[in-house]
Amino acid sequence: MSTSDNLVEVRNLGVLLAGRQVIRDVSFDIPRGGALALVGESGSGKTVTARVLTGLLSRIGGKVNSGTATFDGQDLVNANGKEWRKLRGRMVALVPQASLSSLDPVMRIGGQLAETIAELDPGADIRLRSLELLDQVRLPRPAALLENYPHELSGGMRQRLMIALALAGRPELIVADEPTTALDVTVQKDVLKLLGDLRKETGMSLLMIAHDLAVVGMVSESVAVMRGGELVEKGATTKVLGDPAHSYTKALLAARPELAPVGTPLAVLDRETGELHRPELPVLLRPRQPEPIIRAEAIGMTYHNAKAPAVHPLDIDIAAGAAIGIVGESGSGKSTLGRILVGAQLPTEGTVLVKGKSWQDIRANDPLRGAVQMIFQDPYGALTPWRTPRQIVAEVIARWQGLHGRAALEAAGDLLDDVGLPLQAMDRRPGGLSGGQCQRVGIARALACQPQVLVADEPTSSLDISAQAQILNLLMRLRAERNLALVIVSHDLAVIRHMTDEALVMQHGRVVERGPSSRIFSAPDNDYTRQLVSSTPTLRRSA
Amino acid sequence: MTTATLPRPFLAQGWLRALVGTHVSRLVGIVMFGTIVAMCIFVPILSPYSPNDFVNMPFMAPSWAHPFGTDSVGRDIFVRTFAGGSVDLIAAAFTTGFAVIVGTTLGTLAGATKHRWADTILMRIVDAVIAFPLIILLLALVVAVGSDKPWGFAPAGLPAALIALMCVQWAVYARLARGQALALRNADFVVASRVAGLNPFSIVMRHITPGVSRITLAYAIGDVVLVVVILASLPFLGAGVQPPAPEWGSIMYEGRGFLRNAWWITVMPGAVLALTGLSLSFIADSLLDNRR
Amino acid sequence: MTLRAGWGQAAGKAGQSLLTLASVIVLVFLLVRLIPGDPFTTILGSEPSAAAEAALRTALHLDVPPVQQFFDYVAGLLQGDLGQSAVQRGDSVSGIIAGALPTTLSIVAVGMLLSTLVGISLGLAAALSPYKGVDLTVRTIVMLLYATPTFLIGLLLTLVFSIQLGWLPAGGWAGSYPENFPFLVLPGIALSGHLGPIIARTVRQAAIESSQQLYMEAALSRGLSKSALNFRHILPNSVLPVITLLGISFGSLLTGAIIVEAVFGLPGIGSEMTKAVARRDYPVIQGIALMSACAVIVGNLLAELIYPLVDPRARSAS
Repeated sequence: MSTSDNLVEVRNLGVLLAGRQVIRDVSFDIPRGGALALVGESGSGKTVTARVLTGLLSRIGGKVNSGTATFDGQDLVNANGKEWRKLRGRMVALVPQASLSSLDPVMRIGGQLAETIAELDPGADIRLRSLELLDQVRLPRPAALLENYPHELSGGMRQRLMIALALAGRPELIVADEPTTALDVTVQKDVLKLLGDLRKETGMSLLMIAHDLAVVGMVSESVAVMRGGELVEKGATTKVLGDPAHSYTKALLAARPELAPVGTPLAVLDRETGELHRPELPVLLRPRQPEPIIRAEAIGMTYHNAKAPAVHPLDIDIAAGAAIGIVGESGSGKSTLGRILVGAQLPTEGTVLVKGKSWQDIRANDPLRGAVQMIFQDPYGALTPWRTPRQIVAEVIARWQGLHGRAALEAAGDLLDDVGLPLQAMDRRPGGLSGGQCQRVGIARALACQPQVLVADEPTSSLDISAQAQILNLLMRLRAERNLALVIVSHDLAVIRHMTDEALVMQHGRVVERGPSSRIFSAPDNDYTRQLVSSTPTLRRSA
Repeated sequence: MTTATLPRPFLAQGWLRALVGTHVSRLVGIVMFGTIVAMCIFVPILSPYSPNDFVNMPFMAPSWAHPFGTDSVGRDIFVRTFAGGSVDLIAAAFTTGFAVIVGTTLGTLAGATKHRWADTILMRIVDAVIAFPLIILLLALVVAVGSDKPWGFAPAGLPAALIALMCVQWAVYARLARGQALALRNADFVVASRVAGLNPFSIVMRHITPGVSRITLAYAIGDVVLVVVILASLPFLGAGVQPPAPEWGSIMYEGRGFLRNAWWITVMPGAVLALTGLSLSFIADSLLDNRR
Repeated sequence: MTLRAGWGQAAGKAGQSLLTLASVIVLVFLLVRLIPGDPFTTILGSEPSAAAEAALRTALHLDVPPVQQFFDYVAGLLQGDLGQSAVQRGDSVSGIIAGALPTTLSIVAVGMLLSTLVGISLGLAAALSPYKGVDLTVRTIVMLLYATPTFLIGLLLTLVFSIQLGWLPAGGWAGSYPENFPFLVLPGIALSGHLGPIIARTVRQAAIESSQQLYMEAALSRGLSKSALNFRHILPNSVLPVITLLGISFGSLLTGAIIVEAVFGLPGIGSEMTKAVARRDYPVIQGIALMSACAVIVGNLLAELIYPLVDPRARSAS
């Protein structure tokens, strides 16, 4: 076999997919026992590159049309099905992103382990080896686990199981495709640590695919940044993150809220000049208003048939121009709280008063209905798929601003322009827009109601980091221009810290800590908050 | 800015191929169905004989003069088949159209309303109607309505069958539409419309109904097949269109006794019926498949 | 705890079915009373004699106030009494149904079995090479079959296998087993001509969807062979929906059985129904309608109760 120090060598790789050159001239190495992280936003080609190394490219109809890729000297580009079956699992194993859909829903965990072990490790005692693998990924009570079905496990447990399955054939390389994207930060930290420990224990190499630069720092000593199918920069992780050479890498870092002074606009890459550009914010005027717009008293929510309340009774006031953050992991009740505040859902306890009137008494045509608006997590799901942005916004303008027909459509165009939607996107269906564009339409629809409070439920968590920066900038500008009160519901501490003045930390439906955002995230009082802060992958500002 | 569309690479191939594949089958379906409809319109107009004329010897095998042969009394089966086709197709289109409109409206309202009791009552009725095997309810209703007199243009037996179909078919669409409306009711874009204070009626009309009717319409095209098949089956059960009016089922029913010597009386209209069904299935399938 | 939740779920579903049954009974009761037109003229002809009308009124139990009619009807049902035939005096409706039911059930059973076997095999065969030759052929055949009326399939089968080849009887019924079996073959095949295609389509769709699932890709990436995956993962996942399908297809199977009986001259529920339709024997029609609706409700309920036993996801869903 090859005597090279590199386990994987990729040279000038090009991939054609659906008639498009999705990968162009990509070269990198993975040393034996070493790690490399491929980082990029959606459409950067990082996942397609991983498919070349796992032999799954042909499944999506892609084709390598230039360059080479070798594993331990063996050609991967021209490997046939038989050769791949020897490679997969035994040499290269994949840890996929979506752990729930990556497991057969109707087969027990034990069965899925057994078939993998029988194939990759013939002769091994299947039960013993299963338990050993589960133990290796630090899953508690492995014997009981074998009897479970995938949906009965938590996301973190399933991801560990995926790692156990990948380890079954004692591979030399693990390709981990965004292994922690769907996980809560506290769980993410454990899974990343596990991957690191396993590398030390087994001496295997790791190719990590990620969109989050901060995650990379936790697992890999080297990083390659991809954009639009090209590799723009590679090097040691500390060097690339600390002192990036390429303007795109700089832009990715500049877009991170934790690296910018709190409350300032984030720098974004100007498409035409290729330069970083930091927009100006209008000066924030804050007239004192003693009376809050929203006053929620002892609001709580217990769902039908639920054992515990989704939200335990709590008070919250929202004044004009305020910026309040609600932080928590999945199941903390933060989204429910957000929906209760906008009146999308009535609480089972307490009342939400909007300027003294309860949501229960506010009819669809009451001007107070327009005063509190919402931004949704899934930008596509929030737009009616068969209506264009212009129609969607015009309909709301017609409702609240007394404009009709052509006038409403024109006003809608102006508003969409104001939130930064390109003209050619205004008359396209949402399916043809990017996530960031859809989110702008959602914001424009909210603005068409001339609201005083905007509740944003994870407004940027399904967006790329650069789109996130633009949406956050937009929200900051709107807050300043219109004295809008912002309520931001998010799992992302960096976003909350950057955008809000006051924050509530929620866990299991309770507020465990509340106070000024700057204080909460620098000197948390509560154990859970402290755990959240320490688990969140962040980059330090360099000099 | 980059697109934030989540890549779903493993689906791309199947999806693309399905799109192309279904486009071909949809095209085939539309051409086939168009041809059959055109023949149903033009054959009776252009033919020298009327469907009930005794034009030649009985039991003549298919030939150039009589492409589908002649029946037991010497009527031209080609003309009878396509004259009968209008009866079946118009009847099926009419009852299915009625069912789609009524079912979609009721189902959407039931799914979208906040008066849950109205939904409960409607769905109990729907469940009960759907619980009956279609033919049995049809026969019971046909008997009740009576089937001996023609009504206007409709041949004897047809009105009873139509009324019966209209009483039954809507329930399926109501259930389908309600399920879809219930799902859409909690979709983010509907919640967003509610939060934006749009009036409830326009939310239902603009943000729910289009999503519901896409599905019900696609099913309806497939359902026309089922209705034609059922209409054609009724004569075998002593109901349906009464002779001498031509209708696919009644022509085939008349021919069943002569299967040994004159198979064409039954098989020819049957083949046209099956091809009609095939073409509509192609279209309906491609519509439903495309949505994925 | 899971077990108790399971019983609770089952009880809830059974309750739903009872409610549906109650609505069905109301509907059957109203059937004869709400229809426009006078049941007497439709049953007895345009000018019935006063005596015949009075007799029928008593037979149909129409000589008491409607509310009492309803309660008497329900009380009768609770004792298994579906009333008397309006034409064959002295024959109880339940007796007629009980006599005819075994024949129909045997055809339905054969049809169900054949549909399932053929449907699953065709569906899987098509799904193995989606959008290619085998798949296109299977899909076309399946759609053509679906669009061909059951009676036509029956007639064609008779033409080929009885008239031309003389292999199987063109109709009739021996009345006892095993002599009945030859008489069941063609009706069974004809009956499966409707449900078979539906099952094939569902299985094909489910198999294709499951082969595109990420778990297939993940399993492939672990070095498992395609044939093992087809057998262990695609097969179970694509056969699951058939259970639900069989449950909800009870109605269409009964519909098909009625037509098949007419074509092959079998003495089942269908023949009784056709006879009753011809004689305008309303109580019998009502009784058969009620009985078959019950069968459909039970079929649905069975499917709903069995499904969680085979799909672990349905067990824990609240």
